Order: sequence, then structure tokens, then C-alpha cells
Amino acid sequence: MKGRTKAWLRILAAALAVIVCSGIGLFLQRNREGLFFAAQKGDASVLERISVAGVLGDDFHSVSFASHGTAFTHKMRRQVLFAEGPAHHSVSYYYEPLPGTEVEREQSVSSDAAVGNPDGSFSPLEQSVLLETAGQFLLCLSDTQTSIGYYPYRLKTQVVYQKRLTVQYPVLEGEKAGVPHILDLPAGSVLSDAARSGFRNIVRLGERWYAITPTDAFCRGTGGIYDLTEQLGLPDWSDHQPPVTERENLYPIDLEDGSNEIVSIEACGELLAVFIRSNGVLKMHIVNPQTWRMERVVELPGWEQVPTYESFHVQGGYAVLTGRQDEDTLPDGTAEQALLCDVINLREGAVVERVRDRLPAPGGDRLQTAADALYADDTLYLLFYAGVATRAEEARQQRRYPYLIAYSGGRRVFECAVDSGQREDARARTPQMRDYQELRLQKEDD
Amino acid sequence: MTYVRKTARLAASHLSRMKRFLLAVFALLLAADLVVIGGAFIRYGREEVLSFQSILAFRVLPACFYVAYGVLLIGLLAHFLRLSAKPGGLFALRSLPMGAAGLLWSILLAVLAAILLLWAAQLLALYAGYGLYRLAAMCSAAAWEPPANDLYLAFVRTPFLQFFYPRHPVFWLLAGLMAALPAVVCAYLTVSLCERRTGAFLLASAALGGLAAGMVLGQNAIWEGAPLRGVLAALCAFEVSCLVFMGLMAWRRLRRSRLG
Repeated sequence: MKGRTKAWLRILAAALAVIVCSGIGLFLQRNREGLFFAAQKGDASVLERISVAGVLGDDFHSVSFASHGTAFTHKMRRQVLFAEGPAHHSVSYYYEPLPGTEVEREQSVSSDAAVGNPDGSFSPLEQSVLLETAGQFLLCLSDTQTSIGYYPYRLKTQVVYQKRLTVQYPVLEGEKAGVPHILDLPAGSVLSDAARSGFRNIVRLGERWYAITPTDAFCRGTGGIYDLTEQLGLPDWSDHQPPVTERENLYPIDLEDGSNEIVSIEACGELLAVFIRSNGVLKMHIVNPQTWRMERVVELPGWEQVPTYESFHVQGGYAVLTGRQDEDTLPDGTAEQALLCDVINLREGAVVERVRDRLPAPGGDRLQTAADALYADDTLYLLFYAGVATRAEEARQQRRYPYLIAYSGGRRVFECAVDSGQREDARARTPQMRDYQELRLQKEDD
Repeated sequence: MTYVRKTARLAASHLSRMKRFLLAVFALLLAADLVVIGGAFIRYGREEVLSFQSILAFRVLPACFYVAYGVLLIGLLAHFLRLSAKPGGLFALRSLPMGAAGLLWSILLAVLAAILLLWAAQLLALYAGYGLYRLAAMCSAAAWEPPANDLYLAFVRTPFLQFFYPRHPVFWLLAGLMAALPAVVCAYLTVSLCERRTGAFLLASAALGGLAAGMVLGQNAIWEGAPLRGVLAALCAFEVSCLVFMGLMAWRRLRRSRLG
């Protein structure tokens, strides 16, 4: 072989070596995320009994991790293109004036709607609307959270709303079309919460989706649970009003002239938990979906001043209910918050641990929703998301990280944060902030 | 074995004729990357420490690579098309003892080698830039120790670097096409234009355009929703079909053409 060919072969071998060494070097770095428990306070031996697991990542790259004692193991996950999230459904109400009720109608123009511009901004869009004011409305379950403004079904319930309300319907070709907007729902009503985020009104149990009829003090009739599995499979692109359909009320709940308010539904293993506020007292009905009979009722005193709970987790035969209540107002105008937490033994139907504690603010950050909860060996473990409290931060750069608190006998015995290279993402302005997802607590011997 | 050696010598001869051009492209890419990375640190890094990922996110860096890739492709095409335009150029090579197969392989090998060198130059530029960055970070007033997997995160979280450290079959395929398609296009166009079949430009342009679209879509696939999955699959299938078709056509024309 001539010298010129050999020289080119050597150059190519060097280039190949650069490419291969780069690949090997990067591959060896893939699991060096450096997760650790930071800012530990209290008895760290509680970490030996549980495992904190989850995923840290973004669209490009994610790594799953799990703690064993105070150490972490982590494993890079396969890259996913065109990721599809799990199916989420929300249910809220479509308000239809009750037949026979006097209705005041008014044509108007609304600029609530907006149209997207090519630069990503939005311009107000004037839209013909019909305002209907009536004293009684029939409530139909519907998915009014659809992104394109139409909804696939209307399921008639046995609940009537008895308060004078004005409902604004978009009008298309002279007919009511699209998602109606309720103008004057009472503040704090579970219905206004339901209108904003209806995910607590629907639950998946096996292959079936069950929805409740959330109610407030102005609701009359019979609430209950409906099987919406077939309705959720309907396409949501229809441009006309879907007909009002009827289904069996699987678990009728007498509203007793508004003294019973249905708050939410949750999956509880193979059972369903229906939260009902009776004369102000929160009660958890444990319902068997095989027989549609109530198995137990758990009374939850102490939740009278809290509009609704924040999270509900079930593990190892215990359900953990968490919420928060505003306490003192701080100098910056924000409220200091207290944590409310009840642990319910599902077999006995009794509250076994009750925690009332002032929420810590690690490093000035704010504790957000509880991501998971575990009650084991008479110790309650709560895994929160902690995040920046300032609103000035850009949304995409907002950092939230796991924060673990352990309680024993109602006292806080340990707390710590989970830290990682995500801190550098925030500090060094990395283009995309990685986020913690799928956080969960497990007993170490599980 | 002799034919293999002679084919390698012919490929080396192609590369030697283009060595000044290749050296200029690689040197300019290396210099441009170092200027951008160093400049970013000088501009932003003194007041607040930027991550290496933020610097790689500047659009100038992928632009430098794509420009270098495009210029290299044009230069390679110009070299081989000059062969087909020269009276006796391709005819002389075709009449060498290796015959049609040797000529085809020499073109493919030369182009693949040039692309491989570009890849290595880009990687060297990034590693040199990272070294510069670490050095500057150490000297910076803001005390900062980058995370242990800083470089790994920079590679896996920068869209255009997915082709340099592919972790998904789509990026393996696109990276393979980025190397193989120019080689086949050069061989196909050289032989076709020698026979005055100018229509070959259309197919070659479509294939290269499809590759560019596939690369853009592949990078967007990281955060886009499922509806584009079919488009990307169709593009990849089109690219692979073009690759096979042009390769077979180049081989067929070399064997049966008037060159012989």
C-alpha cells in the first residue's frame, strides 16, 4: 500500500477513535446524576425504612431513581419520541334551564374568546353569545374542558341547581354551540372548583371511569355516581350540540335540600371513596363498585374550615388525606399555612393518625401539593413538591423538587429535600428545566 | 485483495486531491465553534455563570455545523462532477483494473471518509470548547463547579447533537443517512451526468431535501405530539428508498454505460 493511502487510513482511524471514545465517554457519564438527601433535620434513621423513588427529566432525557437508606441508585431511561401522556379526563356540568322555568334571554357580544397569532400571542375575538338567566337549571355531566371548545356528550343527572344564574352560551349559526360560561357561581362553591378543574369528579377503576355529581348548598334532588366509560370514548370534534342522554345512577345520594354536598370521588384500591360534606362535616363513604353498597363511613372532623382537601393517597391499607389551611398573614401579604393530615385505616374505617402542623418553608421555598404519602410502622411519610415562591421567575425556569417530611405520634421527626443537578439547571439558566415526576414512597422491604 | 487495495488507493487519491478544501472546512468549523463558545462565556459568563448547555443552545453552533456539512457536500459533488465533465476523466477511471465496482466504491469511500472527518472535527471542536469553558469557569469570579455529567447532559439535551450521540433508532437512522446519503448522491450524480441524464438532479435534490426535513422533524419529535409520527416514518422510508434506488442505479449505469 502506498504512503498516501496509509496516511489517509491513519487519519481516518484517528477520526474513528475520536467518535468512538466520545460515545464511550458519554455513555459512562449517563448515570452520574448525583442525587442526595439535602438539608436533613431530625432523625435520619427513618430513611432506612422507606424508599423515595421517581423520575427526573425533560423531553430530551430522563433518569429514574430510588433511594436505599441515604444513598440513591439511578438509571437512565430510554429516549421517547412523540411521547403520549396517560389519559386524563375531567368532568364538569352543562347547565340547561329546567323545562317550565321562566328564562330571560339576551343576545350579546363577548370578547372573552381569543384567537392565536403566528407570533404566539393572542388577540381578543368578538363572538355572538346568548345570555340565559333562570332560577332553576338541570345539571348535565359533560366534558367542558375540551381544547377545541366543543364537548362530546351531555349526561342528564337528577340534580337541579336552584339559584338565579346567568349562563353565557356561544352562538353559531343562530344556535347555542360550544362550551357555556357560568357568570355568577358563588365563590368557594365546589361547582366553581369543578368548572375550573374537574379531575376530582372522575376516577378510573380498572377499565371503567366513574363520575360523581359535585353539589353545593344550592343543589336539590339526588346526586350519585355514573359510569361514563362509553361517553369518554366519543369523539370531541362534533360541531353540534350532543343530545342529552340518560344513564342509571349507580349510587344515589339524597342531597336533603342542600345539607349534603358531594365533594369528590377517589379510587381506594378496589373500592371507591366518595367525599360528602353533611351539615359541614366531611365524611368519606367507602363504596363497593361490585354491589354499589356503602361498606363504611368515616367521619373526618376538623375539615369544616377547609374548602377541599389537596391530595388523597392509598397504600398498604391506609388512606392519607392532606390539606392546608391559612393561618397568620405574613408581612409580605402571603398567608402562613398549616398542614392538615388524616390517616384512615380502610379495613377498620377509622382515623388512626391526625397531624396538624405548620408547613415548613425550606430555604424560603413553598411546599406545594403532596406527591405521595405512606403510613407504615406508626410513622407517616409525606413527600411534597417544594418550589420557588417568587412569581417573578419565568414559568419554564421554575424549579420544584421533592421534600420529605416524616411524622410519628403527630410530631415532625424528620425532614429533608432531594437535591440533584437540577439545582445547576436553575442556577446556570439551562434552556429547559428538568422536573421531578412520578414521585412515590415505598416501604423498603416491599 | 489487489482490487481492494487499488480501490482504497483510488479513494485516497480523491481525498488527496481535495485535501486543501477539506482542511479549510474542518479548520473553519473548529475555529467558528471555539469563537462562539469562548465569545458566549466572555459575553455572559462574567456576570452570571451560564451552563454549557445554554451555550450549545445558541443557534449559531448548529448553523456552523450545517453550513460546514452543506459546503462539504457541494465541494465533494463539484470534485466528482468535474471528473464526469472532463474528457477522459471518468472514462479513464472506469478502465482501471477494478472496473465499475472499484470506481463506485472509491467514490463511496472517499465521501464517507470526508463525512467521518467532519463528524470528528465537530466533536473535537465541542470538546475543545468544553475545555475552554471549564478553564474560564475556574477563573471566573463566580465560584462554580459544573455537575459530573455536565457534558453528557449537554449532548443529550441539545437537539442537533442527537446525531452525534444517538439514543433512539430514529436518530441512529438519521445519523446513518447523513453519512450514507451524500456518498450515494455523489456516485449517482457523477455517473448520471456523465451520461447527460440531468433528471438525476431532481431525485438527488428530493433525497437531500427529504434528509433536511427528516433532520428538522426528528429534532422536533422530541417535544412534538404523536400526529407527526406518520410524517417522520414516511420521510425515513422515502430516504431509505432513495438511498437504495440511487445506489442501484449508479451501479447499473456504471456497469452498462457507454463508459465501458
